Amino acid sequence: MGQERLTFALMGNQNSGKTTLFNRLTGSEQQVSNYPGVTVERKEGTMRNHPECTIVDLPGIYSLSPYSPEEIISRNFLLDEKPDLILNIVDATSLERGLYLTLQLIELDIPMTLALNMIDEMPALGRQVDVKQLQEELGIPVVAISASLNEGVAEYARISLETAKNKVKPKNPDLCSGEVHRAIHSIAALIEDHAQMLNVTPRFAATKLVEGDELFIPQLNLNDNELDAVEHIVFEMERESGTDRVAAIADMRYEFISNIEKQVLLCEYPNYEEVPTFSRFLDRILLHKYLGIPIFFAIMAIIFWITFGPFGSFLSEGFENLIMLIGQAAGRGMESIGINPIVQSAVVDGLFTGVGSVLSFLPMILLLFFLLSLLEDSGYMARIAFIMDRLLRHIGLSGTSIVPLLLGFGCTVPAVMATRTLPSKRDRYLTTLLIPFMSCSAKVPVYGLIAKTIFPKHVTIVVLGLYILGMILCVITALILRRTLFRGEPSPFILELPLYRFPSMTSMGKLVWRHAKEFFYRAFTIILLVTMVIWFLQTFNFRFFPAQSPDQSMLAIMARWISPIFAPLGFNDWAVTSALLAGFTAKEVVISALSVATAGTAPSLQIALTQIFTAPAAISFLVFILLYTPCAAAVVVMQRELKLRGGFFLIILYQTSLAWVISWLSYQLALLVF
Amino acid sequence: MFLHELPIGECARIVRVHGSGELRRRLLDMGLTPGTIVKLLRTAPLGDPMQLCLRGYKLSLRQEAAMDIEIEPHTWGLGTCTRACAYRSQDCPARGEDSVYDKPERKGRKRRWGRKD
Repeated sequence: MGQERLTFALMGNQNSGKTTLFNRLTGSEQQVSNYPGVTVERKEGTMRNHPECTIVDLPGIYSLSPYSPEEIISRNFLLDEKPDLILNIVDATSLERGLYLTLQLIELDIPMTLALNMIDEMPALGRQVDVKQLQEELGIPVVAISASLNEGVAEYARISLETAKNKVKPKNPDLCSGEVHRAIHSIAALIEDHAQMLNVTPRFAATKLVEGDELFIPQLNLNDNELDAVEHIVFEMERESGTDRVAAIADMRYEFISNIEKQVLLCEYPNYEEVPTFSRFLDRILLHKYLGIPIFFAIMAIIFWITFGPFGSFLSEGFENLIMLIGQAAGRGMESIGINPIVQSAVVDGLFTGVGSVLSFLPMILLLFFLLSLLEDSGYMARIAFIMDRLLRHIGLSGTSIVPLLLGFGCTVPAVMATRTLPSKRDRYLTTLLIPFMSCSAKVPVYGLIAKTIFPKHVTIVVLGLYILGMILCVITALILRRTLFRGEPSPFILELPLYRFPSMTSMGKLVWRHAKEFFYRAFTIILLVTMVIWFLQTFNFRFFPAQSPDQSMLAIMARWISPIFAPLGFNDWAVTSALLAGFTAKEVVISALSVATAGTAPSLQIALTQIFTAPAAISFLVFILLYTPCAAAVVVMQRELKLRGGFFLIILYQTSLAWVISWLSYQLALLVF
Repeated sequence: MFLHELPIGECARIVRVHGSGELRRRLLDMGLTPGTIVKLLRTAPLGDPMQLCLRGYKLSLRQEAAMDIEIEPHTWGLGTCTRACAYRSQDCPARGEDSVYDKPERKGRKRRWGRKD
């Protein structure tokens, strides 16, 4: 047993369970769901009990002729970095399509093992796979596993390690037939030396030449004579097979797979749609001609109602009381042992009032994340894309864009990352620019607090209204952008609709726990830090003595320079201005900054807020919060995806000025109403 | 005949995928190769996109793309066609006389499969 380093590449279709298998093999906890294309970046981990073995989880692809960036990532990894082994995972419930990629991977002549995943779902579909026979046909080790139930995974890991260590290459890399077979072999012979220079097999290079792969062919560096000869062979092949080059290859592969499948797949119900599965039943209702759209809106309404309605508020209030109790106890404890009042103020006003006011919204935020990922894990998200495609096309997007947009209700950062699953650059850009309009969960504390204080009777309506306003502005922006910057057609919509699956409670639990951990982490790093800075600026004056009144503090003096900008919006107040500035670091900070900045002027935050905001001013403030610049983390991610020159400042400037205009409008409107 | 003309619930055999470029290649990669049997399960509530069943899985695509897919009507000879999705033409093992699909229909229910001719 040598201790040489091994690299395994995990390859498979979208939604075939790669990340679940990756988590099982490495013991890490990457996010998984039941939506095609959740993994958008390659992730690495070391195999459990085998530190010498690195596993790379690559985005899911259907073929080695790449279209979207994540497919190019996967392919380049195989071609450039030459892993020691390919872990090919195939969803047994759509065996043919999975094997289509398998055949292409075998061509690369890299040691490879196949994991036949979701084997546990086969009985319900009335299907059965003869694993031994499949192994025989493909010439590579095949193991039936269920990654979600952790069955067969250990066996698969053992066989994969063995294969990699003994460098067992696929027994039969030459899987083709007919005219295409002849063409591939003549080309392979012709270009052997070029392929060797690129360090790929002649067989793979020949296939790519026949397919006409624009990305790969220039790398081969063929001269004109050779290209002519290749063209001639391909032309002959097209003439003989009566079809063109792309279709001929795809057809040849699927033909081959059909022959294999006939020998390995036993079906009780040959027609998939006739299988009386739960999925079929659900699709009939959820995709119903007349009920489909109302059901979607009802589901979204229920999600928001649970989060912001009685249930969410109940959880939040309970949590808030708990934090307050601890804060009071800490305050009394410090007083009894006579600690410096400035330190006391820092702990009670800074830590507990500031960070605590944010923390109290944790239950609501977790609830929202939980419900959104329930949509994703159950497989309904893909159906939403299916239902909404037509509507979204009116605003220049395709159905697949709905997923990043809905994730935007959780957090802008993962939502922007999710745009990478979109097939065209135009769609990715447009969707990224629209995500900030989907009010992220970090704004929930701000809405909650202001609405509870100023509009105690209409909390749900106010919060829901803000969400709806965001969506309306999203549509308007999209309409404007599609007529100006983003002309052209939305990308084609070709999406696999996965089977409905019951979300695994352990993975949901882990997800919620991860978000909770992240939130705590943020609460005690950035939010705490900014709150402390605000507290410091609010407590001291420019000569670093405690200010007599908060009015004379550094914060008040600095914020007063800027706050006249907000006078037309109805809130010319230094505390609000400083909170908005602090909010750029993270939206939850707005609340903690407000509570710290007003700590000296009023007995409680609620009272301070009623002093600052009239009802119209509160509305305009909420609208401003909804629309003004996304937090720093979000802007950084957006800029990374957009790669605009000066994009960082453009995004901030654009969102903030838009927020100002819309807030001003809603303030004027509110003045008329109240 | 092209795929967008196929009535809901009917099957067809793909003759050729027209069009060009990425979209076409993607369609072929997803298994819409000549000779494949597809069944149109439904269209989305707003009439577009459509949901297909082929090669044992479900795929959705737009009318627009469907207009490039040439098809021919497909029947099994034994009356109904819908048992075909996962299988290509004659390979269907359920082609036998007493397959589960030839059971009499329940009363009051519209015959979902079967071609009117």
